[in-house]
Amino acid sequence: MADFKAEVFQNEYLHEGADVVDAVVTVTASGGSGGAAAPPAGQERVEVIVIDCSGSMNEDGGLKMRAAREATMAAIDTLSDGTLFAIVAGVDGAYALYPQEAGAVARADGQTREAAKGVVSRVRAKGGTAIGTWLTAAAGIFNGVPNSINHCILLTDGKNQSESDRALNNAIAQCSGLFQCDARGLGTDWNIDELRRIANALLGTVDIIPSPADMEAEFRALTQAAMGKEVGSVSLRLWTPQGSQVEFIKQVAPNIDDLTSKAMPVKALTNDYPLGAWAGDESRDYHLRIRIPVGNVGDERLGARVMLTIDDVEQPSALVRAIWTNDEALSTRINREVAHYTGQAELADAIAEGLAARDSGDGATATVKLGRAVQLAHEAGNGDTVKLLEKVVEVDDPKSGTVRLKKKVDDADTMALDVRSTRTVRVNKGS
Amino acid sequence: MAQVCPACAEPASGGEWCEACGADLDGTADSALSTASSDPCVSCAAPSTDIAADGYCGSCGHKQPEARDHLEDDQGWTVVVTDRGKRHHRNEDHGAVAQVGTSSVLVVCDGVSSTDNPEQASFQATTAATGVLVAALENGESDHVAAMQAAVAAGQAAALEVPVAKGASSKGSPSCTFVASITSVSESGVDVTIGWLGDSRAYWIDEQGEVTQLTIDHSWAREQVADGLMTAEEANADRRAHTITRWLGDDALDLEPGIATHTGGAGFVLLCSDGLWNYADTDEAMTAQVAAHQGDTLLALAQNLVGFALESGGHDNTTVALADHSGNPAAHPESEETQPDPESEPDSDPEQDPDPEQDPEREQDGARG
Repeated sequence: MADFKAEVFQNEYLHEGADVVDAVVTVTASGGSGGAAAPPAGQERVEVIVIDCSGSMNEDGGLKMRAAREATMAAIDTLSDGTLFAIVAGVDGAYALYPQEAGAVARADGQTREAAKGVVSRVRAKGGTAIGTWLTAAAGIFNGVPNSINHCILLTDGKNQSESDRALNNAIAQCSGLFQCDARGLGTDWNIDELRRIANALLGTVDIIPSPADMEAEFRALTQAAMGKEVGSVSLRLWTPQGSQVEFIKQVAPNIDDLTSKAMPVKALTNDYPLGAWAGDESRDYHLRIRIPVGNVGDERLGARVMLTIDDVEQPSALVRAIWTNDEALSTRINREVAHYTGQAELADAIAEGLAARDSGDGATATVKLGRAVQLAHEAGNGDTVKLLEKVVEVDDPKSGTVRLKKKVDDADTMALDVRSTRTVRVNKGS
Repeated sequence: MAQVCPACAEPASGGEWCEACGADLDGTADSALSTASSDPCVSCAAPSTDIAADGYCGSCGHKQPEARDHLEDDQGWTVVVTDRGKRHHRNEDHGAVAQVGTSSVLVVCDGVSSTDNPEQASFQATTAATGVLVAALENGESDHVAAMQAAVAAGQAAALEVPVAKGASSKGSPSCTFVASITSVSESGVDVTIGWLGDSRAYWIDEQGEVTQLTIDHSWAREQVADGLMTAEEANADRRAHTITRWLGDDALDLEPGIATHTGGAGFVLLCSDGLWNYADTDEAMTAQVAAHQGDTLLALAQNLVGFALESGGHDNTTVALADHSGNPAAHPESEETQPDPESEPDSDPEQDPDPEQDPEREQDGARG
C-alpha cells in the first residue's frame, strides 16, 4: 500500500500578542502501484455511472444522447477487470440499466462489459430530472457491497426540476461518506449550484462538458482516475489545543475545497476531516488557520498536530507550531506556501464575486473583481485560469488587472470560469 | 513490536503514535532534546500523562522545558552554566569545560537564531572543539595557537554536519559563534590562549577581581567603533549592533578566528555569550558584577552571573564558563572530577601580580571590509 506523509510549511514565529497560526500541510501518498491498481486485499472497487436520460437529452437531433451512450460505453471499457459496476438511467426516478435488477452490481470482465454496452447502446431519453432519486439509487448499490472503494460518475444536462430542493439535499446527506461522486453538467442548461453541492458533500469534482463531443474523453479520464484509487478512506486527524478555534481548514490544491464544516469529533480536542479515496501516488495541499490562546514571548506551543488516518489507523503526524518572539525579523517573515494559497483563495473569491456582480448587472464591481482575478492569476502563473478569464473580459494589462467586460460572452465560457475558479496551481516549491 | 507508551504507559499498538495519548513513539518528532518527566504541564498544570513524548502538552500544547534549557557542569575548578533566558523559546547556546592535569579547556558557542538548527550547530561545534583541545593537552601539544586553529576547524566541520532545512523553509546554514580557551600553568605563570569567531567573549579575572576582556567582538557595533565611525554608545544603540561578522557555518564569510594570548599571574578565565555581557558591556561593569556575584564555590559564581542576566531581563540565552587558575589546581593536579573547588579565592596568593594592567596580546585582524 501507499505510504503517506504530511509536511508542514509555516512561519512558526508569532509577534507578541498574536493568536493566529497559519500553515500549509502537504499530504503525499507515494509508493503506490501507479495507474490502474488492484484495490487492497479484502476490498472491492465499485463504480456506478448515472446517465441523464431525460427528454432534453434528445435535443440537437439526438446528438447529446448519442454522445452519452458512447461516453458510457467508453467508461465501461475503461473499468479494470474485477471492478464491480452498475449503470443507472436517471429521469424522474432512477432505473437500473445494467445489471437490470435494482441495487445489483456486475463484476467487470469481457462478457459483462459487452452485455452492459449492449444495453447502453439501446437506451433512449424520455422523462424528467430528479437527481436526488439518482443518488439514492446509487447509495442502494454501494450499500450492497461492504468494505469497498466507491465512486460514482453523475451526468446531467438539466436542472433538478422533477423534485424539491429539499429532496435533493436529503439524498446528498444520505450519501455523504458512502461514496465519492464526480458530477458533470453537459451543455449550459444545468445548475452549477446543484452539482457543486453534490460534489462538495461527496468529496468529488464538478465540471462542465461544454459540447457532447468532449464527453467520451471526460468519462474515460474520470473512470481511469477512479481505477487508480487504492486507499479507500483517508482522513486528516487534527488535534488542536484547549481553548483554540479552527478558523478554517481547506484543501487548496489541486482545487479549493473548504473542509471546516466536515469535522467529525474523535475525542476531546481531536477531529477528523474526511479526504476520501487516494491514488497510490498523489499529493494534496491543505491550508489551516487556527486561533490559539496567546503565549508569552519565548513560549513555544503546538498549534496543531496533523495526523492522517487510513481506514482509521493513525499515520505519522506533522506539527504546526507557534513560537512567540519579539524579534521582528522572525515574526514578519512571510511563508511562501501560505502566501501563495492565500492568493489562490483570493483569486477564486474574486472570480465568484465578479461573476455574481456581472449577473446582477453591476458592471463596475464586476470589472474591478475580474480585473483583480486576472492580476492574481497572472502573478501566480494560473495560465488556465487566465485563459478562462480572457473569454469573459478583454485584458488590457494583466499586471495591473486592467480589464473591460466583454459584451458578448458564451454561456459555456461563463460557466466554465465559474466551476473551474477553484482550481489552483501549486506553489513552486524550493526555487 | 509490543511496547508501552513512555508518555502514558498505555499498551502501544506498534504504530508511530500512541493511540491513548498521541505521543510520538518512534522518535520521528524532534524529541532528541526532550525530557521525560512526571511534572505537570508548566503552563496549564495538566497531569504529566497528558504530555506527549515530544514534550508538548496534550491539553494546551505548551512545549515543556527541555534539559538544555538549563545545564550545569561542575568539574571542580572548571564549571559551565547555560540557561535559555526569559525571551527565547529554546537555548541555542552551549558550553563545555574540561581539565587535563593543571590545564583547562573552556568552550562556549552561541547558535545564530536566524539560521536552521542553530542549537545543534552550537552543540556540535562545542563538542568537537572541546575534543580537539583536550586531545592537544593530553598529547602534550605545546603550540596552543595551532591547537586553537585545529579546534576552530573541527568546530566548523561539525557545524557543517548539522542538517539544513529543506528548500524554501531554509533560513540559512546552521551557524554559531565560537569562543574557546586553553590554559596551562607553568613556572612563568598562567598561559591563556583564546580563539573566537563572533561576539561571544573571553575575559581574564586577576586576583584582585579586575576583569579584562581578551576578545574583540566580531560585530557590527565593534567595527563601527574600531573604524571611528561611531562612539560605543551610538553603535550599541543601533539595531544592527549585534549583527556578527564572523561565525561558524557553511555560509561563513571569514573563518579566520581571532586569537588572543595572555600570560600572567594567578586568576580566572571567564567565557560567556552575549546573554551575559549585554548587561555588563564594559570591563568596569563586568568587574563590578563579578565582585557582586561571588559565592562559596566557582559554580556559585557562574550560577550567580547567569542569575544576574535573568534578573536583568534574560533577553537572550546566557552561558558562563569559568576556569579557576588562582593557584590551587597546580597543587592538586589529581583533584579533577572528584573534588569540589578547593579553597581557592583570590586572597590565597596576594603578592603575585607581575603585570596587572598590561593589555594582553590581541590579534587585530585586518581582513575586515
